[in-house]
Amino acid sequence: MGRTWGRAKPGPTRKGVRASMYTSLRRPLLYVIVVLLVSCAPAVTSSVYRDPNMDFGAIQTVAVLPFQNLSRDSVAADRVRDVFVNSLLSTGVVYVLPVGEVARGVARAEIQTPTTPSPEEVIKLAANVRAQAVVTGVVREYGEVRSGSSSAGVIALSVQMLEAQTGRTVWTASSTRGGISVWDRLLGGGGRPMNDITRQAVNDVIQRLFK
Amino acid sequence: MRARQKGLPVSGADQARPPRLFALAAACGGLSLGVLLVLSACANRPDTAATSGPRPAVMGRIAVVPVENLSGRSAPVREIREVLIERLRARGFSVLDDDSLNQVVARHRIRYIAGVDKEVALALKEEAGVEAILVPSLELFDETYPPKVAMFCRLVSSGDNPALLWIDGVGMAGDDSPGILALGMVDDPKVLLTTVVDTLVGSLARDGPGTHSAPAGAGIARQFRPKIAYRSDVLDPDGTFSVAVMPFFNKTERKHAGEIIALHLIRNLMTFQNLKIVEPGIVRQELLRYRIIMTDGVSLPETETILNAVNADLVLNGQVLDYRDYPGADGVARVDFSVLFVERKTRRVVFSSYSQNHGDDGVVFFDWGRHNTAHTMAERMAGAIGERMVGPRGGGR
Repeated sequence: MGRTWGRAKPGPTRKGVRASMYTSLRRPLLYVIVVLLVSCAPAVTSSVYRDPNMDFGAIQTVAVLPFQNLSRDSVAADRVRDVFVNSLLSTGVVYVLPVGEVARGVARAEIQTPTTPSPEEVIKLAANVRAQAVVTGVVREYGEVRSGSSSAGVIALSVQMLEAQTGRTVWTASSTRGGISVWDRLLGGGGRPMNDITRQAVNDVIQRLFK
Repeated sequence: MRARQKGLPVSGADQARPPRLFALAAACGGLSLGVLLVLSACANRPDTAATSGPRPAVMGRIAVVPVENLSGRSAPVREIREVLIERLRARGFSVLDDDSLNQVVARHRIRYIAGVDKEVALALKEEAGVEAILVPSLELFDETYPPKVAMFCRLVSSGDNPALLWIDGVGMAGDDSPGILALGMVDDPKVLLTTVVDTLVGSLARDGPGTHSAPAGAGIARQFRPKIAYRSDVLDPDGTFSVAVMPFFNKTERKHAGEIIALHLIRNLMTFQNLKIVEPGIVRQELLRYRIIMTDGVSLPETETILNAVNADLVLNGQVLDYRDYPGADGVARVDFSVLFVERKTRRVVFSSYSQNHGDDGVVFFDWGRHNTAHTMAERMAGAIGERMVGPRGGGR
């Protein structure tokens, strides 16, 4: 049978069929490789919302409220808030009130849950501390992730800016950084230091504010 | 070589390898061994000052108050104080005896002696004839092998206007300089403690009150600089400022980490001539007098109250998120804190920074450049903050 089939299709023609088969398979194979590589890459995602009617240039003073902590690390929210306050201040574009002053404002405005204030509470707080905007945030993930024998730090945070006069959201941004990369899987190691990816995620979020 | 000089027959092996090559190899070997020995002897060598050192800068009588234990665990504070007094006396300092000190403390019902307030300073001046008060603070005393000891000492003037005259701190681990064949390892915690105390006493005798050593930030490695920093234009690097250091918020598992970081910053800011630091005991006294309780940091009205009370220009505040030493030989020290300076006139933040480091940051070969105690790391981080704050203006971040 094979011989007959071989006779019917001589050598050069058979090679041509194989070549065309490889050509037809090459592209899907490449797609599969690319998809696999992308799925192995560390997570870098971000999203942003900006109110088109808001004049961000009018914001000079900002109060940053304590961040909500959804991670297992008890000081993750404090650490990320600290990095966020310092990073925002170091841009020189807006003035960030000291955290003690914000805490006093929260106490005076009698805000029960400073991590998730209502619009009325935001208006009251902003009037107390004389800020043009109030920033809230959520640390969704902070710490080490494991996959097989590999591990790496990961952070996921989202930040909101609320206008002082109306208490409505004028800007939101979120960022996820870190995770296990191909190199971490292949060569081992614990990924980049947690502090580095925290700063990277915070910078990522702040850059989206000024874009 | 000798055979050739003496005219003796030279063996075949010697003929094959020229004698000059032998001499060169021997010289190179000897030289490298010598260099290694010198390096191992010099590496992180503590200042083991002899008892007959330089003349002490403070000639008046000193009161040594009991050691403040900031280590968060039990420590032989009495023995440490005894060693400190003994070394001070050996250096030529006149130290107030314990009975006289106890009498003053009992008469005025002084319960807190880790800081010098006006009442304590005046009582010791008038009733015991003391010229200055030495406040020792023990940061770390770990006896597990290799032992680790870290300690601060500060000198405060007596009288009705107590001022911080001198402060220094030393942190050492038994494996700081192991040297060749681990000959430099220190096994005995008492030996390490004595070395630490000797270094502190030597520093007091050498530098003494009123002197400003070179700013600590000048030669600090890049990795210890603040990761994020903001400096306002209001802060003039050429201006002179007095700074009131408020207690730092401690969000770590380590007890007294806030006080330790505050001491590191005080020590490093003292090296800058244009900064005058208010004695923490006076700040504490005013905080109690005005019943200021900080919930999550210092607010602006509280800042104003304190600055007016102690007549300072800047208030330093912050929070400590991590301050970790490790027991034994395996582990990594970690320090993570942020600082905030608020100015009196503008009531605004003029400097803020965030610093975070691990003991093995920047270590490439073996353990070269590794920091075995959080103390040595925090010292450099605090020095870098001072340099960034009052040094030449750098970049934004």
